[in-house]
Amino acid sequence: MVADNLKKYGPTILRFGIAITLLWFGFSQIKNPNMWVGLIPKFVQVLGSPVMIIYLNGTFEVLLATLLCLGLFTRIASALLVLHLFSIVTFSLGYGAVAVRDFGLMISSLAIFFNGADDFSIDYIISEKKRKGNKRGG
Amino acid sequence: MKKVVAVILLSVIVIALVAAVVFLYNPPKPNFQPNLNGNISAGGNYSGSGSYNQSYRPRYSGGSYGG
Repeated sequence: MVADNLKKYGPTILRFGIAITLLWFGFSQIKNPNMWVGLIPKFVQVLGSPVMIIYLNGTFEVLLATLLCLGLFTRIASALLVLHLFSIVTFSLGYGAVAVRDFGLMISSLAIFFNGADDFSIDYIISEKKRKGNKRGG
Repeated sequence: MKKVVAVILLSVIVIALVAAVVFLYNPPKPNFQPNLNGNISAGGNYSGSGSYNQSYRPRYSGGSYGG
């Protein structure tokens, strides 16, 4: 069945979709941090300059997105992303359309976490290599 | 090894494409400040360019204010 053949691509497409979205937000924050300053909750602003916080947040998001693209440390990256989005939805946005969208992104990230390494991730390729090596050795 | 190189190449292409889109084109402004009314004002009054249009500058007429 063609549909069954397509199944293995699902988790990869989800991983790349979330990574691309995250890259867009990360690069946008690095490009124009002033545009995002208004979204920082007041209790976070005591940590330092709002612009610096946006730069750090943008860099963090680009880093997570890069790991997701590569499929490297997929579970750790997606778990960090879930926590990150949870904090944004809970403490930064308040109830509204944007928060609901970010909630969707958080659940999608949770799906990546539950799925773990997919067939086209570096994690999977490395684990397959190890498994084959152990088979030959044992 | 080939698979790893392919995944890295694909990732580099994806990251470069998104970076190009963000840095070369001005994205729509996320003017979605949280507010208590539950309304989202997408777009808003943000001018984007950062330039100041002199024609809108209020000018002092030179006359008396008649206070």
